[in-house]
Order: sequence, then C-alpha cells, then structure tokens
Amino acid sequence: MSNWGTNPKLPPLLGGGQRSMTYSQAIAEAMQLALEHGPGVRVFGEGVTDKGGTYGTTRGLEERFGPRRVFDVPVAEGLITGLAVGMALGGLRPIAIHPRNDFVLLALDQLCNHAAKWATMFGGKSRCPLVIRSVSCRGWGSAAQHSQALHAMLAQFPGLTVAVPFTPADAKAMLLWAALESDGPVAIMEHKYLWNLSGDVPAGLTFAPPDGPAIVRAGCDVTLVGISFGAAQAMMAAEKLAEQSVQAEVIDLRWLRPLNVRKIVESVRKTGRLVVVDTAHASFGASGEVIASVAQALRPAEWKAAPARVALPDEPTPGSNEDRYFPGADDIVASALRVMSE
Amino acid sequence: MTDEREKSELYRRLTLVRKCAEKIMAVYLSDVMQTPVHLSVGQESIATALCYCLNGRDFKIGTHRSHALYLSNGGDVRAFFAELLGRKTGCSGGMGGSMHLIDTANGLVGTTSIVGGCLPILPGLAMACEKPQVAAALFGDGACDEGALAESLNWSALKKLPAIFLCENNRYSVYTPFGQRRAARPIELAKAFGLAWLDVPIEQSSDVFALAELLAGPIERVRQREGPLFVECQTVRALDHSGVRDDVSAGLRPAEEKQLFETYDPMKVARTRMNSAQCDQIDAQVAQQVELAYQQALADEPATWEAKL
Repeated sequence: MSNWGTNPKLPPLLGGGQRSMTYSQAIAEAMQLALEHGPGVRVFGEGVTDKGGTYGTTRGLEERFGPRRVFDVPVAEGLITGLAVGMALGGLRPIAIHPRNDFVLLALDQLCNHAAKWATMFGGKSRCPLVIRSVSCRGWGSAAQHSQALHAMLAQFPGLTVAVPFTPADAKAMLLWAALESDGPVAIMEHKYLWNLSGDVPAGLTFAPPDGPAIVRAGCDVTLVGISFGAAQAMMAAEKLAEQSVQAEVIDLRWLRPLNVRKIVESVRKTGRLVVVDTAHASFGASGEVIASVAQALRPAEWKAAPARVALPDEPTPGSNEDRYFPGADDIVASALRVMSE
Repeated sequence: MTDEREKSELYRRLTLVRKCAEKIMAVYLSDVMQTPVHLSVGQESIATALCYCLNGRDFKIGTHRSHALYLSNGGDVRAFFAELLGRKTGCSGGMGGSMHLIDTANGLVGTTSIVGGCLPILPGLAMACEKPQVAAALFGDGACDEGALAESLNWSALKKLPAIFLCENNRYSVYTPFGQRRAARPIELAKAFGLAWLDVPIEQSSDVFALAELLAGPIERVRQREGPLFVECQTVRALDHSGVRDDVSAGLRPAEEKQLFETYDPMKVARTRMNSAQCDQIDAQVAQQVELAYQQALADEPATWEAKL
C-alpha cells in the first residue's frame, strides 16, 4: 500500500443507510448536540476556533454558542486538562480536545493523577465528569512524534473510561454519552484515518454507554478483533479472506476500559481462532490485553490455533517508508491464513 | 483589626488548627493514624486568614498540606480525624487519608498531593464561578517550581479570571532550600503576567488579624471581576516535611528555622493581640472540642474496601 496521506478515502466498509455521514461529520454533529443539550458543556482545545476547527469537527461552534462556551487555548496541555478538571469539579461538563494524541503525554498528570483518581480519593463524594477528545494521526511523513496511538497507556489507569470508536454512529453516540451522561472522565481516542469513513448515523441525541464490543461482520472461521482504525483494516482483510473462502467474523472492540470480552469469547468459542488488529505497538498494548482476557475465559481445547496480533513494530514510526512500517490489510490476511493453517 | 467578635472568631479558628495538629503529634507515633501527615504548624495564620475572607460558596483547592485549609474553612472536626484514622465517617470516606480532604458543602473541592497539581485546576474552577463567587488555591513554594504555575498564571490573567493564587513560601521543598531551586521568587512570575499581587513578609503573614485585613480588599476586587490575584506569604514550617518530628533538631534544616518559628509562631503572635483571659477560654473550649471529635472518630467504624470488579 502506498502512502495514504493523512486523510485517506476508505472503501464503503459499513454499507449504506438511512442517514449516511462520515466519521468527522458524526463527531461535529455530536459536538453541536452536546452544546445544545448540555448547558454546562464547554469546548476548548488548541485550534478549536480557527478556520480548520479541529479537522472540521468544531467549525462554527464558537459563532453559534459564543466564546464563553467554545474557546481556543494556549499550547499548554497540562493547563488545558487542568481546566477541564477544575470546570468538572465546579459543576460544568468540559470537552477538552488534543488535536494530536501525542500531545496527551504532556497532560498525563491532570488526566491520570487527578481526573482518573478524583472520585476514589474522596470516597465517591466528588465526581469529575469530563471528556478528553484526542486524535491519533499518521501518514505523509508524520514521523515518530505525530503517529502514535496511545489508547492502551490511558486504559492502564482505573477511573478513566477509554473509547476507541470505529463507526460514525459510535463516534457520535460515545461522545454524547461522555459529554452529557458519564459521571467520570472519558478519553475518546479518535483516529484520523477514519475521518472519511461513511456509515449510517441515527438522528438526534444518541448515547452509547460502555457496553462492550460489537460484531460488525459475521463469520465462522476466524475471529478478527479490530481496535479503532484496526477494525477498518480487519473489515478490508475480511473481504479479501472471503475471496479465499475464509469467513472471518469481525468484532469492533469499541471500549478499552471497561474491557468487556464476552462477545469475543463467544466468537472464538465458535471459530477457535483469534487475530487482534491494533493501531498501536504490539508490546504492552491492547492487543495483548484482549488476547490474555479471552485466553483466561476459554479452555485450551477450545483453541484451534494460537492467537495472533497485528500491530505496529516495536520501534518508533519512521518519517519515510511508512508502507513498510504500518501493517495493512494484506498483513492481517497473512496472519489470519497462518492461524487457519495451524 | 479591631472588632472583638471577628478577632475571637479568627483566634478560635487558628487555635482549632493548632490543637488538631497537637492532637496528631500526641498520637501519631503510636501508628494509630496510618497516613502520611504534613502539618501546617507555623503556617496556620495563612489558611485561616484566607478562609476568613472567603465564604462557603467560594471554591477552594489545596495540597498535601491542607489540614489548616480544611479546618479553618469550617470542615467537620470529627470527619477530619476519622479520615486520618481510616474511618467510614471520614470526610473522604476513609479512602483519601490526610492528603485528600474534601468538604464540598463549604466549597473545598478537594486537595491533591501531586505538587503543583492544584495550579491548573484553579483557573478551571474560576471559569465555573458565577459572580460574585471566586476560586482560591493554597499551595507552597515547591508547587511554584512546576511549569504549571506559568501556564495557570498566563491563562488566569488573559481571561481575567476570579482566581486567587496563595503561595505559602516556607522556603523549603522537603529539605531543599529555595536558593538551590529558584532564580526568582514566585511572585515575580505573577508580576510578569500582570496579575494583581500582594507580597507579604512574615511579620504580617504570621499575624492572622493583620493578614485577614490585608487580604480582604484585594479579594473583594477579585469578586468584582477585576482579575486574578497572586499572594506570596513568607512563612516558616515548624516541623518536618512529613510526620510529626522536628527536622531542625535532626540537622535536616538550619537552626535559624527554629528561631524563626519561635519569633513568628502565629499562635504566640495572635495572643499578643488578644486579651489573655479570652484566649485561655477559647483554648479550653477548642481543646475540649478537639478531644471529643477525636474520641468520636476513634470509635467510628473502620472503612472497608471491596473489589468492585
């Protein structure tokens, strides 16, 4: 696969629907609805009010809802996240946006030491409901510091809810749940490579609480679990596998924390084979956590082959040769066929 | 300050903070409190004066050294001891310990033990304030070593937020003196960002009545939305960074620190401004209140932790 740039056009993976829109349009719709329906909602982040408007997801919000509720901020991620914590403790419902998830590393103290622990530290007498939107990017020579996917690191912290939306419907409904209904901090890890993915998105207020993965393609030979853009790649791989008469069941993980693997366990009980596709590094990552959790729930005899994972190599992302670095659908196909041949 | 009722109320709060610390000192080495305590002995006048100028609707946030903030803000004394003793009735349900005190009914949104952690939270609280409500953070000079101070001052000044930064400068980060850590005092950073500021020497900061009077006007201007305020109070930490021991006698800080405390002990200073019979009466009442609260907390049920998943 050649360099896809930073904003690839994806094939129609999710089929048509009554109300088709892209992932980024779905996020933009959720932002607008959150501000309309939540008087305490505040939206801020680097570039939120500029012409780009967080890759189009916050465009026009300041004009419509005013600078008190939608505002730009300095390049100070600790401050941005601390503002969210303070606003939440003061009774507001902040949505802070880090347009590159790599920048979240500068905000970890407020996110992991404060927001994640606040309710527990005070015996449940305080809540810290806030949303951190961050976007995982890659492509066009973005190189080591602009190509990470840090969802597993955040999922390490009890007290944080971590979403990895794949479908446009989830991108909207998870954000609305986080912004209007959650009673604790939620990190929504969006992926720029899904920005142009189209799918059916129900109108109005829709809420997706953390209720586990979803089967997005049924199959009986091998279970492919996709995380974020990994789910898109798994769908593309499933098409190719079908051409070789291998019916893959594709599961969109949706939530990293709380992790619920019941549907994956049921699927592997049927297929006996599991390949997990992640957008992050393999070591110490979400793919290993999924495999371990499923393994603990199954008897050894229920496995037809050892589970496999398709994830980033254990090296920082190079600024060129991206097609050699990032695994693609063909790598997933190869991994699935290896698992099939055991 | 001349109003006798106001003075006795301030003295009562100051005494409460000191008597609670003395109770902790009396029992701590028996290990009945299994939580790291960071006492404010020597610094009590600062939290007490600040809280006196604020009301229960105003937001406050503090640090690991926040017993004085919690108690002088009107926090329940039994819930305070219960928290330190790991009891269910603790202000944080026995799950926070000494460094995580909360009293939302009186505006204390919590205290955090990550040094400087409260600084970026303060402008967030200030953005949630409705006039005439204000938000205040009480922190030490160690917190000012963090870059978070510059970020938080910049934003508060830019947005003219109703935020009060109050730095208790005891000149030590654990045992590391100011001169080994900083090229300039924290207040210089506040001046650079254009905040209103108050530079308070120890002669004034150790005098709870003088300090309350000094803070009242500038805090009122924050209430009127004239912009954020930075206060740096010079002070002295009488005891060890953590625990109840005397680190000066142990050779961890220079002997001058003990001398400084002898001269500027806020309790001593307050007594020179008051009628001593009245002081004795308040002392006795507060001692009784503290002992009762401690005994009640001690008899309370221990907190239990169960895995939820």
